Amino acid sequence: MEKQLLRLQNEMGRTKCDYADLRYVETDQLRIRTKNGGLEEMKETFSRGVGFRVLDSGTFGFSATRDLSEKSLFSHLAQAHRMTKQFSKIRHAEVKLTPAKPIKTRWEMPVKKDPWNLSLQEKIAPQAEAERELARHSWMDSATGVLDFTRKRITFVSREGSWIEQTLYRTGGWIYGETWGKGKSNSKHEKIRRSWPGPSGLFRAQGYEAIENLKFREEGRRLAEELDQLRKSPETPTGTYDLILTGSILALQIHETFGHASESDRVYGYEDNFGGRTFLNPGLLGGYPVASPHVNLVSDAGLSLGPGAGSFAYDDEGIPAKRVDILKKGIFSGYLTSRETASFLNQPGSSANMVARDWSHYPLIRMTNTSLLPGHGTLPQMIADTEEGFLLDNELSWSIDEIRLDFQIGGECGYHIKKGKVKGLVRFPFYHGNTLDFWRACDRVAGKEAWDFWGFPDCGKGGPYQEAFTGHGLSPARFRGISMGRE
Amino acid sequence: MQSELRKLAQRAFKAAGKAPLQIFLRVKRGALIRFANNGVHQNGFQDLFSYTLRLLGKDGPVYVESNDASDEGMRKAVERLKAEVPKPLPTPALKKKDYPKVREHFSLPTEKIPEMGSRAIEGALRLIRGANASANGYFSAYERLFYLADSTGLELYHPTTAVRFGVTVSKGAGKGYFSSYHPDPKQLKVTPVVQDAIKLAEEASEKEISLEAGEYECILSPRAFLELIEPLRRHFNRELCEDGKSVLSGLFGKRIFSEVFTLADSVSDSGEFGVPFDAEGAPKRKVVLVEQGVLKGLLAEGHSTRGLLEHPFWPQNLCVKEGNHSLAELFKRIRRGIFINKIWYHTLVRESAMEVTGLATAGSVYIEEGKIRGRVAHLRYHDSIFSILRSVVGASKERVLLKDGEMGAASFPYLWVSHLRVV
Repeated sequence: MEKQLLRLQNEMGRTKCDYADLRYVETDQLRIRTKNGGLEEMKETFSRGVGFRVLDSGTFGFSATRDLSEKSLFSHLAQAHRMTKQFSKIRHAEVKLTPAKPIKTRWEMPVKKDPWNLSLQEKIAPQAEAERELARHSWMDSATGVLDFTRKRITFVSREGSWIEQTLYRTGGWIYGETWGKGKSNSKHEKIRRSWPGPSGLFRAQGYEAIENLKFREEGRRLAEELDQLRKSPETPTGTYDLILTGSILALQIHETFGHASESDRVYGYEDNFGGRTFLNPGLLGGYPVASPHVNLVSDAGLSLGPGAGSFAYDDEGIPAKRVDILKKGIFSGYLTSRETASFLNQPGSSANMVARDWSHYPLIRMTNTSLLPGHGTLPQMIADTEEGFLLDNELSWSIDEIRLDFQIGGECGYHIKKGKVKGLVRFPFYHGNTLDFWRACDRVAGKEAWDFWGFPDCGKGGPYQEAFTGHGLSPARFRGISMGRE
Repeated sequence: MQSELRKLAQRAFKAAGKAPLQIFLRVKRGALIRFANNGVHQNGFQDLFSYTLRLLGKDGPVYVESNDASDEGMRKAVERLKAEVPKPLPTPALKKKDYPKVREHFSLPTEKIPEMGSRAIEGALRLIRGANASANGYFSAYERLFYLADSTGLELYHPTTAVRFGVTVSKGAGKGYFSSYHPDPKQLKVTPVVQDAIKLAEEASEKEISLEAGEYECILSPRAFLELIEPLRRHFNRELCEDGKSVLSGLFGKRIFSEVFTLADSVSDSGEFGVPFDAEGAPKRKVVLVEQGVLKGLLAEGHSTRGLLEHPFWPQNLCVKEGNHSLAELFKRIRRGIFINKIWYHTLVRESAMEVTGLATAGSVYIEEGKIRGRVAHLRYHDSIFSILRSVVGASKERVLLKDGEMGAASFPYLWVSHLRVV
């Protein structure tokens, strides 16, 4: 394949265009679903192909193929070039790219245990044991789990001279128990679910060690205890309370509000027909407090903060991972950009946030690892310092408007805090608010001791629709005076 | 093309030896072009292919999917599968093979798709600029081929084409969204869709109306309705119902929705499109799920795709019976209500009551005494799907065809409901 790619790089050099690149991607994915301690379904996927991007007459063209014959590859490179001609007359705006240094390198994500070197039984053992622990309770309806492993080998080659080979890993999984509780109107169909570490898992840029770190066995026991309590727990009251968010639900809160809002393609309407726009206008950059001074949010696909699920060494435009401040002490400080939007924004370079789902998709501006930097103190101290409020764990539902302002988010479970102590659990908690008011109400972010990475496998965007892995490092955070329950 | 896919399948069967293999091949070729602020900003041509091999193990099905069709690639895929399922169970033979006849493939030369897209968007933008408006949207055209075979001798092939155009026009602060889909490129309606979107955007631009929280009459567009009922779909599963795990459990034969509401899953009705078999090769057949508000049918194996992790049990060809009034007449009958054109970020808050929330967007307008009074400033609903569908008053006589996933299509009228809770 290397020789083919070299010939294509030479052909890109000969093509009369402003820029061209290709990505040859091989992806292995393994998804295992278990139920009550046994295998339920397993799917192994292998995919490989090449996606070409050509920039000419101020317009990008893209063409992708799984046919790796020389004839097909050259014809798709030509097809991408033809697309630029086809659409240049009705283009949005002239595309110009910020400069990028050609890079020639090879990088492999460090993993301790390659999941592809383990047997199926070895892989599912901790999860199966946790499910059996859950399923032994007579009131438990089902205990289910999912393991998901992805290994991606990307070769990025550009007309500018870049040749970057990288191997990435993404590993995640989750377990959940389901039972039936008394319904709101005494309906018998009130499903209660409790998951660990989140309803769609926790993903990291690691090997199987990511699954070992989840400690399914111990967490399975806790889930069983909490599900038993939740069956008899009261509904969440309606009113204004202090809210502590942690783990997966705080990751989601970051993701859906400032995460998506900071994607600069939304400023130019590029996601108008699917993902929406953003309230973060360029005029707000640098001086506008969109959150309290406790809130410091960064984007960083490198591994220096930890193995976030969005990690890589180079993005899909060949730009090295870097750290970018999104919010600095609550002030809006920067966007996630590509070489194209960085040029629109008069910035010197891209923030390295261009990611494609695979070879067949056009790279888009994506969150990689969007993290809330730690503050001070611990979660127990935060709880002890709360007069009355709720600590929410794991998201159950979420909805936010097109510019990422008005939202409503529901959790799996709420811990009712009264006078600094957890007094019990509540069912189906949900809260609503406005992104600006909500983050301005953040009065505390816990310190480094509580800091960890959470991450999702399925951030959806674009057309054709594509999903991406995103990581979110965070410590628990508290928000004062938040509206909970029915509006 | 069928013979090429057959040859590929035969190579897989040969590599599998006596193993009771099932193979599902998918080909997808075409392009999607997106535009914003009256200009194209993204285009992409895709040539995709994959095959999924399946063996049934004692604990459940195991799948290996690949797009490497070389002899070596196929041999590896079969070996991986056989290693995971050393003692596969036999593939159960299908009892019935009465597949509905669905013609869903029309002339669509893939090499001409970029030109088609460019022409369609250019024409649309001319109209939009002429109306001093701006717009975002998309054009897509794909040919998809589905081929399924198994060790019992079953062989199924279904070629499809799909062409889509959608546009959101902005005029001042008003927005209007409409879309068109058809398997036959000649049936794609670009100009009427753009004209309707401009008209709605113009009407919505007049005035902004802030609604008080409360209950409102509502007209749901077909697109909005498709999204609204999404969380309910899986509950039409017979097995789930019998196990008491569906929100419809215990309600069979009972009135659950308004008596003017009839819902079916059917690929065989005239004007419907979709793959006529499920992922196990079983023929799809028409099932009336709800008849005049009464739960009348549930989906069992053979009625819909199941298995293949990304395709859970799912009705894929939903149709709602049309009514007697035109959409314009429905508008005239609204005393104080909302037209919801498109739903945004619809989510299930609580499953037991099918409690959902989301926002109305892209040309959702307030109607009073039969006339559009302006756009709704910000509309979040929080209500139960049961309660909304119990309040269906009527349906338009126009029905709109919507693409619904890769293998199906839906056909809905505009629905008039008497209660929607706005928060």
